[in-house]
Amino acid sequence: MIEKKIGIVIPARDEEESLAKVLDNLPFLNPSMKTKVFVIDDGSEDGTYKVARERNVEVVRHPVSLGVGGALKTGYLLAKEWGADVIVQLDADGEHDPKELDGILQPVLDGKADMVIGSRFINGSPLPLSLTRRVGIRFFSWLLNKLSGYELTDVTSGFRAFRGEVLDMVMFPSEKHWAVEMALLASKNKLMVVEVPITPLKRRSGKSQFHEIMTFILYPFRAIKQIIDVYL
Amino acid sequence: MIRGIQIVGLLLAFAAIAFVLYARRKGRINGRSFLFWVLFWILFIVFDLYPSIVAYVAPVLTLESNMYILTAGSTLTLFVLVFVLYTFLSDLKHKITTMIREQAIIDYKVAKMLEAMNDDRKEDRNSNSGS
Repeated sequence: MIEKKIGIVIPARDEEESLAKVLDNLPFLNPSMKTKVFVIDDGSEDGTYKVARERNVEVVRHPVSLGVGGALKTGYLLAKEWGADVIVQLDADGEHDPKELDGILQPVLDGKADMVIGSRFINGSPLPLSLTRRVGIRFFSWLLNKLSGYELTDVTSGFRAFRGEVLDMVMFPSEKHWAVEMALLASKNKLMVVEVPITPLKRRSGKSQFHEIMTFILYPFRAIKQIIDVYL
Repeated sequence: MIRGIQIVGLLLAFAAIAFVLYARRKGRINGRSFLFWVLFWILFIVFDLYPSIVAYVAPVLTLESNMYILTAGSTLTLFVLVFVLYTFLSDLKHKITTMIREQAIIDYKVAKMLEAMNDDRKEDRNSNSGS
């Protein structure tokens, strides 16, 4: 049986507390899989780098923050270089349950999907999200579905997996709003995208990127710009 | 007769040309940009000293007064400059991002290599002390 290589990419910025728990809770995947965890410390000012180094994972450190998209890009490139058959990503803030990794990976491993997105909305999962954020996610999912023909419920979810072979097709050119851009590129390249339900956990510590008011206000404008960038 | 606003315009233009010269001497702008900005400010001085020139252009552009053409011209120039600046900054940001990423990956690989070398040395030492 051919051993599958799974590259797990975790972007982290100032997440020393939650990252430790996420890494310690990563499940042992099927023994027929070879896994490598890539933690991208995105210019953290706390002990994120140290926490990751203390565990048996690959750690890359950005001297300054490039944002989640920028950190993911670095992780993807390293996973690709390593020869990952499947690349999976999850957040370092503890909102994604590492125990759900198997569920995210399975459709890709079974050849039923090129990309799998963990949706927080299927099955009416309990959401620790603000109303405005929920409305934003719904709006962008609706807009993207109209443009792409997909039927996604949670296009901005950061818990996803995809085949290593399709990385070049979905590699977003910008650093911001990678999730929307990635889904649009997948649609443009006619990739098979499916969603699986996930149950988001409450953030253990640290701050969401949406704590900055400007990020929140500019989000819709930037996301629309990404849509234009992909299609024009 | 020169009006007060024209004197202000002249002072502004001379200050700008001095700044362009200074920037060029310090190597902050290339020769092409230097030429562009010097010509831009010379043109500004000409229009400032002889505002009646605008009167020849206004009918061609079907604008009713000299003031309109000055306002529209300035606004359009500002738009173009902002766009050029935006493109330049985007390009710069992309280059910096790529550099940071490449440096981070190089640092990671060097650290891995050093770790592997240290491990090899330790192994050698252990095997030497064992034998």
